[in-house]
Amino acid sequence: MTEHEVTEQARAILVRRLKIEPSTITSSTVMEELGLDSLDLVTLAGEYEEEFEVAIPTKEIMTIRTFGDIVRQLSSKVGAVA
Amino acid sequence: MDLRRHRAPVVNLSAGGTRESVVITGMGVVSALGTGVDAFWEGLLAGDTGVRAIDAFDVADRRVQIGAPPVGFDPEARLSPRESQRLSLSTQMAVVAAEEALAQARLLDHERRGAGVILGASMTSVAASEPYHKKYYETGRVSAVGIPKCMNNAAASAISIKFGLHGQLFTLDAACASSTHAIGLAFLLIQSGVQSIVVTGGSDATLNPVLLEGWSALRVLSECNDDPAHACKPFSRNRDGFVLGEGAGILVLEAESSARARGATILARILGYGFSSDAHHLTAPSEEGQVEAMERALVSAGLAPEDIDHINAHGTGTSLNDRIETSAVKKLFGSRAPSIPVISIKGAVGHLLGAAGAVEAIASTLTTMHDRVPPTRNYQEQDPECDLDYVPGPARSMPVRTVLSNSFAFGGSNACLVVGKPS
Repeated sequence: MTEHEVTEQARAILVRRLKIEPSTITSSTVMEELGLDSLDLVTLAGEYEEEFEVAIPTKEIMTIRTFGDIVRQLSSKVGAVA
Repeated sequence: MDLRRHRAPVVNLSAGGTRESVVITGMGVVSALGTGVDAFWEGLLAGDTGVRAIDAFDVADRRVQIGAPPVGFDPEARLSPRESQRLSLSTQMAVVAAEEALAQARLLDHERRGAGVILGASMTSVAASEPYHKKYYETGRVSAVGIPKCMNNAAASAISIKFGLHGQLFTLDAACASSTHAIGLAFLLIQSGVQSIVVTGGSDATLNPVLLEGWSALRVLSECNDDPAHACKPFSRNRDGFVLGEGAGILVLEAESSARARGATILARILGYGFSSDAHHLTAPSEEGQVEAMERALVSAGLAPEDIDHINAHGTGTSLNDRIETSAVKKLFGSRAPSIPVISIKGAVGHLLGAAGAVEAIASTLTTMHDRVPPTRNYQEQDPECDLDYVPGPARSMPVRTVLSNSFAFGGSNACLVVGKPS
């Protein structure tokens, strides 16, 4: 899996949930500014775990601030190539 | 701080309009520290814990593998075969705790006939119904006993039936504040003369695979699977969440006039009940809501902040709750806050959810009865944002005239009780 594929897949899940334009989600997009609170983040983390078949430790979820943070964590876990 | 803003309403449901004083004449506990008030209290004072690795079901690949199930609880020894079959774990624990409480209250049959039963419970019926869901999807069948066993009012009903109590009968759900509100409602009903005696408190048993996974998904549970005895570290800088516990706490609340007329031993008083709703968030707490609930409890008790000697906190051991609750205590109690011992017993018995408030009210009662404050089990490192006196250990001997006991729930329901000495 490439980082690009991780990005597209992760973005698709967010778009489905929030019903917003994909182009509004970039790596620097701050999750809180998308209207996501702590409950949304942990729920989303669960969806990402299921979709990518990875485990995201609680401590890492607490460090998520941007969409780029999510992509980085997921890419690392699936061993994505650049 | 102007406490007159939150003067608690006087509920005059009876024609006479008099306000009774409300006393506690009996208590019963089932918990991870043991079955019976003595085991519970001795365990708390010793700084023990009942948190351990879950062995009731397979948790091998799970993020959370620890819990605090009841200890020393043998339903077959205490209940009839029919009761063991018809009653869920949560109901069984409630009945056993009620038996202890009513035995201590020493009510004769005719004296307790009019007593009400008002309990708190949260998701216990969800846990109890799991095997029935499973069997339905496997076989298409559901046992007839499923509905009466799992209904949320099952525990209160079982107590009413077993002990011949004909008064009010219902169960209240306010998530983690359920049993504190139940005790508070019982207090108001007795205060206003609607009931003379109410058996109250709560019971919850939610250690099942689905609910454990649900709570785990919220990332609010401790993941200290390698060291269960030191999981759940309320107010400590290295805290990482709470542990699910199971148990029951039952109290017999009585009008003081009724208790004195029959020569009952009065253990303590419920002096006040305060409440508020955060109107803020499904899972995150609000400092303002917590301050308001504590304030109302003081006003209800006719007390000022300087009259509170000790606080039994909600203290779940999550990053957010402990920080917000500390801040709320500091806001209400001002410069006095650092000198008030604030404890949480959740490191010892786990978080009993719907029953948490009840066992904490019982711990608060025992504290004022014996002038001994149990330690906060597992408090290890100071957090700059949690800088009160959490009684790191050992148990402390000191005069305790009054205790403020807090419960702050998901969904923003807050409930606080003030417990005091008999005189």
